[in-house]
Amino acid sequence: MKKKIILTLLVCIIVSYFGRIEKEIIDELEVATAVGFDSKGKNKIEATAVMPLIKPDKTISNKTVSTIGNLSKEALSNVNHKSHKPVVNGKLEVALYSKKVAEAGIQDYIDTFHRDPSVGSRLLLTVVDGEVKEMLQETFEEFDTGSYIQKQLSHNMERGLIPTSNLHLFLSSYYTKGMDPVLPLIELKDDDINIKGLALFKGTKMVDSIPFRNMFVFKSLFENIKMAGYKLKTKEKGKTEYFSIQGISTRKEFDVTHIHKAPEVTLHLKIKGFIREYTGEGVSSKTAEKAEKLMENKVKKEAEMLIKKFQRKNIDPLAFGEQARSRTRHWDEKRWNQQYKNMKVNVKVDVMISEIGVVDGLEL
Amino acid sequence: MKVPVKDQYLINPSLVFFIVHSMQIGVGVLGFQRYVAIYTEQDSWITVLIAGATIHIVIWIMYKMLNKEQGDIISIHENVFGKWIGGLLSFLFMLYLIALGITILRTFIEVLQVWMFPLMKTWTFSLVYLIAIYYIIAGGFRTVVGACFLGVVIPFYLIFTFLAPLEFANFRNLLPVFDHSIKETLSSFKTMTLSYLGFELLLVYYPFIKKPETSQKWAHYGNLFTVILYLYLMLITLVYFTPEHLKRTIWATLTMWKIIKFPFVERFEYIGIASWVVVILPNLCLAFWAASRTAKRLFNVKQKKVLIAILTITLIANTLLRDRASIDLLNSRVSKIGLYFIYGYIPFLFVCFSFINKVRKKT
Amino acid sequence: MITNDLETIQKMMLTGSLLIRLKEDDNQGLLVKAEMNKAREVTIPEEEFSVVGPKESFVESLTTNLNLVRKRLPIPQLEIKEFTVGTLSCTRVAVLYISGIANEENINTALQRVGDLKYHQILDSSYIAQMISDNDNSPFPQLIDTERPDRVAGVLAEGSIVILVDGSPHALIGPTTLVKFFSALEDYFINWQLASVLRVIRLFAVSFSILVTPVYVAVLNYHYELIPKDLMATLVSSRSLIPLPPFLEALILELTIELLREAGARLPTKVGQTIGIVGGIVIGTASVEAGLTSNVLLIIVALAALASFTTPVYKMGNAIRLIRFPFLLLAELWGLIGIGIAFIFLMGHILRLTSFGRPYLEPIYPPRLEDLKDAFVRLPFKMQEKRPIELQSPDTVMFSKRKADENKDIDE
Repeated sequence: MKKKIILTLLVCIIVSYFGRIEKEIIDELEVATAVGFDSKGKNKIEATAVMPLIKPDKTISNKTVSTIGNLSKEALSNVNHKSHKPVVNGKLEVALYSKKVAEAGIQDYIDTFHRDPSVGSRLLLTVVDGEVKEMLQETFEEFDTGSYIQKQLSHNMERGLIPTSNLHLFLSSYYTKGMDPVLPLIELKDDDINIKGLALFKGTKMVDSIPFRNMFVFKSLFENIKMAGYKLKTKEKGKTEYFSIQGISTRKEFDVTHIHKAPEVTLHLKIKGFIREYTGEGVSSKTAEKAEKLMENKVKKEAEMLIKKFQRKNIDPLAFGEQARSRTRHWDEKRWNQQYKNMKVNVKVDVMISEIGVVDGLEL
Repeated sequence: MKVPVKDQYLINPSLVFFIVHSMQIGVGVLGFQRYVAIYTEQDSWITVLIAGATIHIVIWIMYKMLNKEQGDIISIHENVFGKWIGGLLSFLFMLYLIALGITILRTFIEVLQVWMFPLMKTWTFSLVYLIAIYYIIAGGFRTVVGACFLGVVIPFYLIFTFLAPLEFANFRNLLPVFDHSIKETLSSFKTMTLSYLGFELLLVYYPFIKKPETSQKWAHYGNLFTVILYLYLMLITLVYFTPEHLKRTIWATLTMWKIIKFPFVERFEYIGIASWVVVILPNLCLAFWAASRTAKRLFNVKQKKVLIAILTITLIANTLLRDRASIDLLNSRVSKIGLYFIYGYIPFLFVCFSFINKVRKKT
Repeated sequence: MITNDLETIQKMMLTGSLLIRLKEDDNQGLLVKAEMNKAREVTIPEEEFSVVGPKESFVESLTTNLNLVRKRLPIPQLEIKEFTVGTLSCTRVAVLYISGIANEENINTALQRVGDLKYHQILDSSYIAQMISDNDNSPFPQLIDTERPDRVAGVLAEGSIVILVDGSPHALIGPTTLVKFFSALEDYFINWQLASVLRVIRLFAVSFSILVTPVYVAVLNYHYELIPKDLMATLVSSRSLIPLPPFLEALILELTIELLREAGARLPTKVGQTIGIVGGIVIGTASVEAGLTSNVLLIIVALAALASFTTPVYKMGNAIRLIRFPFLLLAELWGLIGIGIAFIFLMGHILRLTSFGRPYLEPIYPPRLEDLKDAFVRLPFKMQEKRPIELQSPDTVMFSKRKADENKDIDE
């Protein structure tokens, strides 16, 4: 019995002495919420980290640290030199890349995040048109910049026009054959963050972008939309009329034919929505029909234009390749890549306006 | 030759379900998907089913032998090969069990060191964990089975957490079905069976089951449950990751947890790893219990003393394995031995056993 | 009683008998029991108070206590075996069971263990409880102690064995299981849905009480990644001025709560209440304002303490408060992994525990689905046909449901 007690005590002491591990006490850390990368001349990278400063009265202010280094990792580790508490990246919300960095390729940066187990899969990646540092130093309302950007982007993914993306989805589309990643493109405009469009990638290099006005069509081709809005403009009797169609939900379906010889992709797009605003004369069931027709034509045209563009640039953000792969046995990636450029793509759009609002526009 | 075990130490046949299942589920679950998907990509779930089916056959063979012998592998060995060669084979089996235990513990510590605490010392964690194991095994086989039971029941809630990654699922990843050659399927089959290893310990604890013949269906159910669990995990992994992405992900299960976000907790992999402390407990307890039991039957020594010796060896071996390369090497060696053991040695033993029994009957 | 045995005479006279001799040199005499039994009146149970149901509790006199039990079970099968334990105290100890219902093996274990007791003085039943329990190094009580005669009658009918000690208002019940400690007698007085919910809440409260402070320490020390962004601001702002690391902070607060409880228990009831108020409000608020503890932790520790008081059996509550500290230490050492390690030690310990040789963790392990009817939930009485398997009663059926249902029909 005595021996047992002594042994237990001994083990306790030994283990509690030698078993200690480095602590990461929450209030003794600088928890970075955003990192941004700017290109500074040749081979030089400026990394900017944003850390929220939480004061005892719960107000949050921003702290940014910027350092310059040769590699992304070096620049990031230099951030630690400039901070009075260790900087940790376990709660990163967004990673921002300036357009220049993105065009040079973000392979290294992504690899760092992928390899580090403390970085979450929900990390948002985005490309910034302009200087990242400037954007991160801006303060927004009661949030720190990282959380603010994350909130803005993620709500625009859920009920707006940005295609859903995060670190996991980016990696998936990057690694997958027959699929290229897309990231949102944002800019700082009048002290606000503005969604400018989408950055299109080939591998990890940004090759092109599409403007905001095409984002609705792109998103509906990319994934099923749950909730969004769209504006139509028509000229009738010399008068410009606007339709505002809200509550749009879409469904897309692919059809790939003649895979082995000359593949042909057919896209069926179904759009449902209701009219909220119309600047013309009263809204009636006829107007709804008119709007349906108009929208069908417009979306179709835009979609075809976008797809042509992708084919010209030889990128595949809509994952046609993935669609073909999942429909063929022994899919040949090389042959697909050759065929892709000249492949025929048909878009079929079907719009249904289900409601015209709570007022029937019959003239009194 | 019946191996006598006192009545009060016997366990209910239905508990065999938990013993078989808990021994199969271990550290491998955290990342088995990748090793299979390297060969068969989107068809990996078929491999899971095929491998599971073959295990049923092996379990059936084992029960055939054991029911006739009413003993354990040591008595079978003695019966078939005589005292010396049989004893040697049993000794080798014991070494395999110890190696199995070392591999499981060291691999788990590696996960800890990679995912949570890079600076954690191997020997301190091993020491504490092995003391817990000693404490449980010292309680006897019933306590070990209790650990198996709780090791299945308590972490069961984790099954539901795998539904969260479905938010980003792409079901097209599963298509086209049957797109791989038999050769590829065979290679993946080999790696998949490793995840099913562990049921062979039945050869040691068989005499501890009350009315052991009736336990066969429970052993099959246990394996079936493992198959279903692996299938469930594999399907979710395949729809969550694209094959190319999966091939680069060492611990796919843990990586899937990273996406989970609840209002009160994020990043579930940390909770997952902490729960895994309980999941691997039955593995280790059963492996070391079986090893010490074999030693006791072979050399007629006190199980407690052998157990302490085995645990000390484990502690030292764990500390000596330093880097990922050597851990990987150990893993592949042990699993290869396990593979040959269940598909090569057990059928071979079965043939020898039935042959000798027939000859004896005639004379 | 007429006797000439000197030893008996001495013994009887010492326990309050009169010796009447006809002549002064008679070596025979009549012993007449004339003890004066000053005992407390039967009062309301204090530790196991229930709002509904009977409100009698045991007192310090064995005779009264036996009477209280006998009143509820007026059958000849109720057997009472008496022992005298203690070389100095000569305490009367009674072992009660219903023959034909209680398992022979259990009876023998209990009788043998009580019979074998060698100690000079027995002041309370808890002496006996510690001495006859299977593992006296365990913080967990292995016998339920109760002050309610109705609970005793209830478990006797199920097949348990009860030990009553003269001079103690607490009866001991065994064999028992872990889940029994979380069932209050009141669970049987209210309808089963409500009782089941209450039991689940109690179990949840206990696990909460054990785990919450260690998890707080683990997460704040090692796993900041787990905390959602919105919660992070609350935690960091509450902790930013506090000089102590989370572990010390938690330890000090836990000890403060223990201190308050201890002080409250030692003082007279009315002063005790004041202490509670002083401690709870004044010390708590002051320490937060002084920047010694964070208000988040204060809430957590107070909740954990509150949760630990939900166990109906007082001794179990003590055990739960004690095992929180190893969890806390390991959480400080290895974070969540440490909690996992502490958990497997606890698991191993409970798995090994027995009560009168019967597994302690039943019906969870060994899994007995039938016994789950009265474990985590309490199903309606009509489903409680059989006695718990745990007690291995020879007469398994309490009542036959079929017989009760036989004459029932629509409109009859």
